[in-house]
Parts: sequence; C-alpha cells; structure tokens
Amino acid sequence: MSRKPAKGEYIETDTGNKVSRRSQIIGTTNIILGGKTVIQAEVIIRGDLLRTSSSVPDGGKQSNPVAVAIGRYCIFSRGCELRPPGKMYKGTFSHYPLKIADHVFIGPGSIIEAALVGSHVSIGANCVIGKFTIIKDYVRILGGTVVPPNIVIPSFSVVAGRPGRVVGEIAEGEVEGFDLRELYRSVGNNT
Amino acid sequence: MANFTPYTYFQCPCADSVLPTRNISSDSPSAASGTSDQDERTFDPRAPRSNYSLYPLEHLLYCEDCHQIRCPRCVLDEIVTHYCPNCLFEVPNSIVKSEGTRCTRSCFQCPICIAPLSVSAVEPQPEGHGVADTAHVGQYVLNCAYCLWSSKDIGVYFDKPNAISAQLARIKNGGGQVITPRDRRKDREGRTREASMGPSLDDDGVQEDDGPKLDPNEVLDPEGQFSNLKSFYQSQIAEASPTSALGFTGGDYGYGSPGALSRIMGIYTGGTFADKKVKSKKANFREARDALEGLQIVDLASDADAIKKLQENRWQGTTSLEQRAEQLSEAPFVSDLRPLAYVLRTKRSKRCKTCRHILSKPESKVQTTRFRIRLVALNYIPAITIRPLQPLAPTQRSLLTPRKAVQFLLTFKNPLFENVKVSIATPAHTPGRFKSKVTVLCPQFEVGANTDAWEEALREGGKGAGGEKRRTKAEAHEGQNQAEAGQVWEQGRNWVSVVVEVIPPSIRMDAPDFVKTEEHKNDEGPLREDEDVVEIPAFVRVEWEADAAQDDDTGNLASMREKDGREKRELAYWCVLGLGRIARE
Amino acid sequence: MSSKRHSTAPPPPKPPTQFSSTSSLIIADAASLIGTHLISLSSNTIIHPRTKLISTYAPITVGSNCILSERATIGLQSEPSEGLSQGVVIADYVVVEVGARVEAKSVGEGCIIEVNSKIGKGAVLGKHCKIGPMCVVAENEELADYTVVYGNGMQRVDRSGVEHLKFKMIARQVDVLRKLIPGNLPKFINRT
Repeated sequence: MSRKPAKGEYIETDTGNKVSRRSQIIGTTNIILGGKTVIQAEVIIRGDLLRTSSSVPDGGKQSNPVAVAIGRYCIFSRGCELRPPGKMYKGTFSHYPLKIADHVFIGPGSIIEAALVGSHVSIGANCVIGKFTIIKDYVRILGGTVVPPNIVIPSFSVVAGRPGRVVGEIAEGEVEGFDLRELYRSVGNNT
Repeated sequence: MANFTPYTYFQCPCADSVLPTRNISSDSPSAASGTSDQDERTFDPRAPRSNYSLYPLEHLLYCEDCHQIRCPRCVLDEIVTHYCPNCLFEVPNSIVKSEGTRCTRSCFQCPICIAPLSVSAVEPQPEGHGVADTAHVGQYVLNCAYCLWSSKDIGVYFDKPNAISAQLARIKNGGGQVITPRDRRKDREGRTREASMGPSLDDDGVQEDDGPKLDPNEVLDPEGQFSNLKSFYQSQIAEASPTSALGFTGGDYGYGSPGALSRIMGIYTGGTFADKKVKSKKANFREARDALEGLQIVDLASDADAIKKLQENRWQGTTSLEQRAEQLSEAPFVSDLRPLAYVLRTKRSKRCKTCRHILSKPESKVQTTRFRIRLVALNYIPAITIRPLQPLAPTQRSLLTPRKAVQFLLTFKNPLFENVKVSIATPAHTPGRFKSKVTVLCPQFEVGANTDAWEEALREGGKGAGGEKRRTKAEAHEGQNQAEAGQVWEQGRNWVSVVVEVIPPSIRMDAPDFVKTEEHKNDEGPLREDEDVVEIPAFVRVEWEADAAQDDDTGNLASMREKDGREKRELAYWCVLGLGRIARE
Repeated sequence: MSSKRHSTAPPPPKPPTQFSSTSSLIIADAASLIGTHLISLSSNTIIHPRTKLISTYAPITVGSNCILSERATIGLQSEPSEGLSQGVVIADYVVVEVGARVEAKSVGEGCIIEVNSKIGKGAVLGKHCKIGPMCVVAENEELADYTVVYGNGMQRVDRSGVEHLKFKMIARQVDVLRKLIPGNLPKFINRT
C-alpha cells in the first residue's frame, strides 16, 4: 500500500458514483447506476450477462439492454459480486436483469444473483444470495447466510442460516439505521 | 472474539414493576436477595433476570402519554394483517379462521431443507412413469432448487401449476386419493340416517350400501382421524347436553372458537362448580369405536413394516428431528414427508399496556413499509455510542489489558428539540466476580437541541461551521491526551462526548487470595461465558423542559408546570455499557 | 499491492495447452491459465472472465460442455501426494459456479459445483453430484453418484431422474454464453 495511485482510489462520476479503479465491471453499457453509489475494489459486476432475445423487439432498438440496474446510495463492499441470474424458460436459456433499489449495502465477498433487491437492505459479509431471489425493503441478511434460490423475503425480516430463513423481525426503531447517506459521504479519495 | 463492538443496552423500566409472582423457597439466596432491595442495589447486568429487560435502543418504543420507555414485554401486539411471506398475498381474517394460519395458495417449503419449492412441469417421458394415465394426470411437481428434493420423491404429481394447496390436500404420499373432510361428512350423514332407522348401532363391517370408499377399519391419516374424532365427539356432546351448563347449546359447540376455548380454560382454573357439571355429564358419553368415529387401533404389523423399511432405506431414509418438528403429523421416514405450506406472517400494531395508547401502527397493505404511528425511543431519549479514546492501530489487539487504565468516549446524541441535562451515575466498581474500576470524568452535562432535517441540510451545504469547530476542539485536547475531570471532551450541535475511565481487573482464576474479590472467593467456578467483558451499569437521568402536553388531565404533571406553558420532564433509566473484552494473561 | 495495470507486469509463462476444438471453445480474455503442466480443454466449454486454472503442481483436464465461472479456481494449489499426478480431471457437462475451489481428483459427469464451495484435494465426485453454496467436500472424500451436499454439510441422494433436462439446460446455457462472452483463444494457445 506504499505507492498509492496519484489520482486516488476512486473515480467520481458526475452523478456522484464512487467507483474503485480496481473494480472489475464487465459490460458497462448494460449497467445503470442511479448515482451516489460506491463500488469498492475487486467488486465484479457482470453487465455482459444479458437477456437472450430470440427476436429483437422493434421498439427499443436504440436503447441499451439492461443487465444490472442499481439505485442511489448503494454500497458494494470489497470483493462482492453482482451477477444477473439465468434459467431455462420455455425451452430457451436466458439471463434476467438484476435490479437493486436504493440504500442497499452489500458486505465484502457476498455474491448476489437475485432478481430484485429492495430499498434499505443490508447484506452481511460472505453471503450467497441465490438465483432469482426477491428481497423486499428493510431486510437484514446476516453474514455467512446462504439464501436459497427463488425465495421471497418479505419486508422487515432478519435472515440467517444455510439455507437462509427468516429468524427475526426488524424493530420499528431500526428503520433509520438502513440509511446509507452518511456512509456514502465517508467513502472517498480524501479519507 | 478478536473483534469486539462496544454496545449499549437500555433497561426497560417495566422490569422493576414486575416482581416475581411465585416465592421460591427461601434457601435459594438469589431469589431472596433479588426481590427485597431491588431499588437500593445497583443494577447487575449479569443477573439472570437482566437478560429479559435489556434491549438495544432501536428495539424500544416510547409512550408519549405515560412518558416512559416501552419494551416488547410491556406492549400489546394487535394483528393488523395476515399475509403469506412467499406470495405476499393478504389473507383475510375469515380465511385465517376457517383455513388456519398457512398459505392456501401454492406456497410450500421443502420438507428436507425448508428452502422454497417451485412448481415445474415434468418433461413427458416416453417410457411412462408407472402412473396409470401419464398423459392426463400429474404433469407438475414441486421442486427444491437448493437440495433437489422433488414431490416425485413422495410420489406426488399435480394436474395444474396453480392452487397446489388444494390439490395436495387430495393426494396422499404415493399418489393415492385422500378422502376429504367433506366426503367424510357426507358419508357420516348417510350413516346417521341409516342408524336412526335401525335402533341398534351397526356392527363393524356390515356396511354395504353406499360405502365403496369408507371402511370402518381403514387406516386414517391424521387429518382424517381428527375430523372423524371431532365430529363424533361433537355429536356426543350434542346428544348428552341439549343445553349445556356452559351457557350455549350443544349444537354449535365449537372447540375452535376462542370464546369456547377461554370458557373451557375457565373450567380448569375455576372452582369446583364447573368440575361437578362436567363429571355428571361424563356418564352419558360413549367412546369412539371404529375408524369412522376416529378410533385407530395400533397395528402391531406396522412395527414390523417400519423395521423392514428401516433395513431397506437405512439412515438415509429416516428424517431428522428438525424435519419431523416441521411436519404436521408424525413422519419417521423420508417417504412420509409432506411439503410444508408457508406459515402466514403478520403486520402488527403495538399498544402501551398501561394506557392502551397506540405506539406503533404499520400501514395495513402488505407491500407498503410505512408506519402511520411510530413512537420509537430513538426519537425521545439520547442514544449513547462508545468508542475508545485512543484509536487502536489495526494491528493492535482490541482486548483490554488488565490493571491498565483505559479511556472511552461516551457520546450522547440528543434527539429532542430542547436542550437536555444529562447525569450519569455508575458504581465505582462493576458488579460480579471481576470488578472493573469505573470513573466517569464528567457525570453531568447539557446536550444541545436537535434541529430539523432541512436545517441540517443547510448547514451541510455550507460545509457547516459546527463540524469544523468540533475538529479543532478535539485536536486541542490531543496534545495532552488527558481528559480533565468535570470537563466535556467534545461537543457538537446536539451531541456531547464525555470520557469514562476503566481499570479492568485481572481475570486469572489462579490469582492469590488477597487480590480476589469477595464474590470470587465464594465462587471459584471456571470463567463463564462473556464474564471477561467489561460491562458497566450506568444510571442515566435526562431532564428537559417541554411544551405542556395538550391533554393535561394528568394531575401529577400540573404541579410541575411553569407559567409560560412549559413543563419539566425527566426520565431516568439504567443502561449497560459494553466496553470491551479483557485479555487473558 | 501489485500495479493496477496488467500490461506493465511481465506476463507469467503460459502453461502448455491442448484444445480438442478451437471453434467451439470459449476462454474469456480476462481468464487466467497459469502453471507449467498441461491444461487440456474440450469442445463447447466456456471459461468466464477471471476464472483461474492453475496447473502449477499437476495437469488439468476439462471435458466438453463445461461452464467454469468467474473467480473459480481449478487445479491443485499444493504439491500433489502420491496417486494424484494426473491432477484434476473434470468430466463433461460440469458447471463450476462463482468462487468455487476445485482440487478434486475427478469430478463426474453432470456435477454442479455451486458458489464458493470447496472440493478438497484428492476428492472424487461421482456423476450428477451437486455441491451446494459454501459447502465443503473434504480431502480424499468420495461421493457416490447423485449425491447432493447442502446446508451445513448435509447429504442426500437425488433420485428425481432429470439428468436429460440438466444436459439440455447446460447445452443451451453454453450456446447463450458463447454469444455473450467474447473468447480470446489464441492468447492461450501454447502447443508443446
């Protein structure tokens, strides 16, 4: 760590995203960032795993297809990965978009293959979020959890275990704790 | 273990008011001393009862009418909505009452690993699968994507991919048809009609006319048995007591209704009056005699079957304790397992147990996460955060060195829009076998008022002076690195940091006698779980002036009110500050 | 820390490779094949970017229609003991998911090795095994055909008989990935 890159670790975009130079983002044109999102080092985002289009719809041929959509104030810790899930449907294999809403924290080393991660979700370190998982708002997933594929996790759940199950509820007073604005401000080149 | 995060727990005052109702024999010393001088003693965070009264601030509510903290133990929960956690469909109360608290659509959990099951189509197989009409029946199965269990394993196939619950209720493991309660009822009605024609009760096995499916000696599944038993005894009750002593007619004697249940409970707890009545009625009762009435005679051959099955399927074929616990009926073998319908979840509102005012009320719609009312303690009492005064180098162990003074910063953040006066009191030594010496350098101070969110935003826009001031002040202190007694360490708009100094004890079990505490001499047991954590009980008193409450019918507050419509408020409670773990020598 | 650009560091020596077909095999540019022993790959196999094949200690053989995902590491990571000189042998239709670490002696046909699982050195997986996320197969452990490892090391035998469906799905997935992942096979060709 003695020799720091002159420009600092993070590239800051116009919309306030802080993206580590050492992140591994593949298929950038298929990724939407809502702004004010932190992507730390060694994070992999697989924007290249697109939906298989058997016949190109005549409508949106100009707009880029979306593989990963991310809202505002999300924090992706070191070494986590976002990967659009894939499955067979009606005889064809296709990947489906991975959508992440606002104020989502993903701990280091966690691998996310969900279909949807709602707002104010906190995922601990070294979790595996199975394919096509739907996580609603205000959910905490404790570290080391393996969330099984296709599960729906309702709002205000605490999830842990292998396979992950709802082990508790988020208390009324914990709601504010999911806000990531302060944490977003604390990350950057000058710290 | 190496990573210790400091924590603060708050004691809900309801713990004081609830005294143990039963007197344990006086020879158990803890019970005797625990109740008598509760008020005088310092609160011991390690006392067995403390576990039930300590909560993180986020878990506490605040009653604006009682002006008191409310914990999960002193609130009443009321169900607002039942919903399925998988399909997120709201289940109306009427359905919950009639169908029970499980999802009645297509939501199931794997009986092996509790992961969700999904419906998938069975690929048509050319060779057929042993099922009579493969082309027509059973094109769908439930699959677990986690452990690969499939309803094929228990021989259950479905005709259509929706309403699995209704379909499953009709299929036995192995594919046989379940006789539904409705069929049973129909059959029963037929038989009672028949019985009323001939006065003698029909004997086993003489049923001929419309009994192609119901056999008095059939082996019932638990649900069928329950429904038979229930209807049999219901009819018995109806016959025995045309108008029951309990005040309702025997005809609609529903054991399922909560009213009836509470009355039945009343029989047991009540006096001898009810007992007598029940006894006198008993004479008229007849017990169930065959399968149609719910009687199942244990078949000794089934034991032999089970042993044979065990020999064939070995360990792999048996179920684990967890798997059995989830099943509705006994399931010793993997082949007996049934998919588990999701248990419904609830949205609940919370009321203060004392004054019945609502403290928290979520929106009733399943998909919304807003609250109509949310009185959380976080918005009323100052949050306390703890961090070491001297930041540790990452390489350094975060354990506390015995007999070496260490200083921590306690930061009080005021959520109220008024200035508050805070006083903290701690015992000089923490309770327990290993006593840490505790000194709060500034036990009394005032914390500034909170401001509106937009005001905060304004400050931030101009890169607030508040933030700057704070830094310089802290830096000024860093030179000497020594906190002054009676002085606040750092201060911000609505927060204050004070220093607490702790001298942790040695936690050696083999220490010489003269350094041991009294408690340690009396109890030479090995080190208990978390006994090496420095936990400080702290009594916090918060005082502030607030606008007088609108509904001032509470007389005791009136005396405190001043002329300008302001009134003094105070709140006092015990906290536990978990500072760190002591290193072993 | 290493420098941020790969081009500035001298490229590590290429391991000898043997590809049965050069048209249908996809190795992403950002995948890494390192080591000194032979790496042989068969047709229709997909190697995602950031997958590591390490043949430093022993050779690696991968069958056809396999999918090796990013961050997975295939190959022995320490000196092989006796009887492991043939290295890691992976049969056809094997899917290795993100972050898995495979040091097995052999992986049977149709196995699925899920996210962040570890297959110890010398382990033998039968046909159609499924190793669940974060599960561990110990060194030298042998799993019978159709074994499913899930949860905290729980095991069961899967008799649902959907192998033909799985093969179909993997074949389709390979077709799809071939279109999505640009391969850079010439970079890795090193015939000896």
